[in-house]
Amino acid sequence: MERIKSKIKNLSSKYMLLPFLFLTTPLAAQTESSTGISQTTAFYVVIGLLIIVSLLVILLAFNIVSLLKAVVQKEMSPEKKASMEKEPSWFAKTWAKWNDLKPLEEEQDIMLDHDYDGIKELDNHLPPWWKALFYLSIVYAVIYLMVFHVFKSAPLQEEEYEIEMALAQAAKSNMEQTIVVDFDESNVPFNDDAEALADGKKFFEAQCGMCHKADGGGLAGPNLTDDYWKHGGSMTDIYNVIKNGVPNTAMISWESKLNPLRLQNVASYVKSLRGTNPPGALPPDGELYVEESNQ
Amino acid sequence: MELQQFKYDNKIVKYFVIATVAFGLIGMLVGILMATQLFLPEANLGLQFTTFGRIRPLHTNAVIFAFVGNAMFAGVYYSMQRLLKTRMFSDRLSWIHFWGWQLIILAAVITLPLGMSTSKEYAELEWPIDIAITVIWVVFGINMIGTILKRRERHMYVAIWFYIATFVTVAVLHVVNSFEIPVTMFKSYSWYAGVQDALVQWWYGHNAVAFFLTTPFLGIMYYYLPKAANRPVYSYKLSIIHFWSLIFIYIWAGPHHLLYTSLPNWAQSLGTVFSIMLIAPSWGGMLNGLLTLRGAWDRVREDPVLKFMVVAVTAYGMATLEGPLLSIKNVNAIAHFTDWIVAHVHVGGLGWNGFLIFGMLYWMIPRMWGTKLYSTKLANVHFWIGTLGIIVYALPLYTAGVVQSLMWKNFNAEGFLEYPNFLETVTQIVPMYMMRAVGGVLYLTGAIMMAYNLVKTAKQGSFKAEEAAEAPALEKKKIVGGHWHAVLERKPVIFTALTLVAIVIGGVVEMVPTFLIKSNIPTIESVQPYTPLELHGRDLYIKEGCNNCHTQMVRPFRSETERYGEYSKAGEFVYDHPFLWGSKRTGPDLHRVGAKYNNVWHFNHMLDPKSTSPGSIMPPYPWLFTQSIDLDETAGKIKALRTVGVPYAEGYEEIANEDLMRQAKEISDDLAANDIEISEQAEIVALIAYLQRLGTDIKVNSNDQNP
Repeated sequence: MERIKSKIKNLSSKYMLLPFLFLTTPLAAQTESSTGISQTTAFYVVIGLLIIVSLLVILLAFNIVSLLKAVVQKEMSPEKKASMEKEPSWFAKTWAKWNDLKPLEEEQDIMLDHDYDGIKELDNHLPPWWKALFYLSIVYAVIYLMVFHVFKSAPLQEEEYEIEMALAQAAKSNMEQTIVVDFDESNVPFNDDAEALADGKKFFEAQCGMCHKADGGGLAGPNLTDDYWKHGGSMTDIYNVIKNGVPNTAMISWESKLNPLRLQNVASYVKSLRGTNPPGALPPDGELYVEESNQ
Repeated sequence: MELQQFKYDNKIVKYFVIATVAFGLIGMLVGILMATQLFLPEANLGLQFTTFGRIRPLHTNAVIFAFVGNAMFAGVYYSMQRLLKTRMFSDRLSWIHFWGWQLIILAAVITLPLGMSTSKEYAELEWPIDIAITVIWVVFGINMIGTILKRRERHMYVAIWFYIATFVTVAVLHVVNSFEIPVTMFKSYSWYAGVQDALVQWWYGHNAVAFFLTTPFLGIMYYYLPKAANRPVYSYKLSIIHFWSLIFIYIWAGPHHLLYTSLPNWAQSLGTVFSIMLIAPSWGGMLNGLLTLRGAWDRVREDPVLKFMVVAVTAYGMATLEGPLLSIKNVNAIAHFTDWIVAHVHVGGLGWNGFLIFGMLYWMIPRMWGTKLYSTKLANVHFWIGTLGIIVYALPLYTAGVVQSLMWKNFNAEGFLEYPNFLETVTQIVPMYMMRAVGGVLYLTGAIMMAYNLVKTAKQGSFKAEEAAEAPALEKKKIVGGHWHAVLERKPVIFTALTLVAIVIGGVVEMVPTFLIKSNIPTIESVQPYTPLELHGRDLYIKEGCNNCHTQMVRPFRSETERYGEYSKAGEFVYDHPFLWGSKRTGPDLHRVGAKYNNVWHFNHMLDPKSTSPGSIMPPYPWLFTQSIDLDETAGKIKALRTVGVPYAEGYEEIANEDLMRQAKEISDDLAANDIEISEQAEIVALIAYLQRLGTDIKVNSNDQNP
């Protein structure tokens, strides 16, 4: 059930990204792994899509109307056609009305006596829609300031952040209830399941590889493929280091970023690196760790 | 009334035109070099002088101040003489202005690749050049006001209003933003720190766009567009309303560059609402331009000059609607720090400024050389290839911006970042970067065609250095009444004073409280001044222009605090002269990078970024490993910073180098423990010290291991 749900979510998120997909083929491969984008983002993407679609529809409608007109006019008698042509189009009329345009023939009436190097000026009215836009933007500004700073009825950025974090926390604790594991750092077992190791590998190469090299041979962080360990080489030791980090080093705690199952996958993968002997690996560092037979 | 004979000075216009075309081509070429480095870092030619961080300011300064600046002066000197029916006030000042400006550009071309930069965007030039700019700008101003005073035209036309606003405001912006304390001949620290520096910088940066790229070009539009279309200007009333509302409102909108940062909320809100209120005044200019073409649209189809102008004015309208929309918080949350903004400014730069300049040149050159354009066909090809260039440039970047931002913010079902590795979000958009470079090449190709066309035009004509004209002198008589604005139009001094008042109000209201009221920047006890070594490192960060690709501003979003760590607080920046918040995240934010990786990681990363981050588009910085910091400069740095308020104890400059060497030894010892031998005075050591310090002050005494 959970799987199906996530599949659906996966699918829907793919469609959300659709408008961008056709422009970015590499992304198509990437979204396979994406399991969802935030509600707000989705909202804006959908709204954006709606606007684009409505614009296209309007454009199409205009085309159809003009096409129809052409067809109808073809059938008309020449006299009727001539009378039709005299009449300015609906668009031209609206345009003139909204802009409060003076017909070009009457332009002389509003010509000012200005003449600057031959440049004359007309005294046309301000376009009414433009005036409305200006007034509206001023009203918007007043309301905006009132809402945020006088009535304080909308959250400012710090409060907005608190809300966002609280929501995430709530969602996380919901999620964690569904992941029940019967281990912790004292007894976590090695998981040799191929799928689990592949998951661990993927994460290791993307994240851990930044310091430990993608093949685990060590870069800024130590080599993880040999038998020498600074903080112990048992499964539980490795799990512990990944989960809790090593204070005052670059090894951070991953507890808040990975759920216990994925922590186990990554630790298992690290464990599986032993003896791979990648080229260019760093020399041994730390103490020799000898595998206990029962682990 | 007796007609007076006089001559227009065309020679000065010709020189500014030549400079415009030459620097236009150079500026665009540098742009393409940078654009290429974003998908092929090796295109820095392996030289520190041509690496992205150093040539990005070169590109912006070249296109803004050299290309657009020279074009502005050409347009102003040509139109102003004719609109005021007089020669320029002083030939001598005209030539001091011309050569002074070119020398400033030359100084920029030399100093910026050498890394002499203040880091403040569009104001990177160091203090001696800042002084030179001030002097030359004043020369320009005197020449302009002098010309207005000796005019033979009673009233000042709308173009002149815009020129006056340009002169006054740019002077105020440049002087206030350039307050800095010199350290050496080519190094200074901003007078302001952190949040205040950011506010001043973006008040400047935003209004440089407004009063260097917009108002002079509105003035130019008001002259050349009705001239080229041979149509009367649509509405005098609209000119008046949109001029005053534009200059008054524009100045307030700067904080929209700092939404969701540590800038106080009230200042951010002012930035948002004034940006929204700016839509109508901006569109007033577009409308007056487009409606002036009523009855001339049939000619637009044939005349390349009008075609360029129509697209320019339309691009202006688009960019000035997009800007306010980007100032709305929710949109800004997505678009800020991404390539969306780069696309936005280039629609303005390539579309509005570029195309208006091209239109102006195609109109002006044949007239000045008394001939016809050499090839209208080639100009039409230029138009189409230029338009295509803008589209091919902008569309991929819009896509890149949105795609990358969504990836940054994407949480998976488990509540973790879907793309925790920043690099993944970069490699995703590299193809867009390639397309953008193609767009740039197309645009430059068009500009080269124009250069050829203009040279050919000039060759087939003969240049009239002195153009005879005649007009009656202004009578010394008192005129009363008329439209209230007409009264102002014949009183240039009062007009200039009113302009100054209009543009000063917004800046004062925003800056004074931010500087004086303590609660705007809450103090954090644990925040300490930088150590001497970190200071050297910080100056290297500035020298290499790291801030061109990396921000130091973690915004209060879950997606950012999960990725980078605690969001940035105003109190953390009180010793940052200048602030280094950045404006674009080509690479990840660095405000919390301190103590996140070890020294060895930084060492390897700076030497070869691909070794630690495969697929990275950051260039290697091998010169940091061979060049040394100059210990003799330490004392000067400490003293200068103390002057601007950083609490280094009196006399600390004497012993600062001891602290410096101690800290350098710690780092080099740590590196040595990992078999890396490096001189303690190597630049990389200082840079590592600075990077390791970044954002750690508020982490002191906490074992918080979140990155």
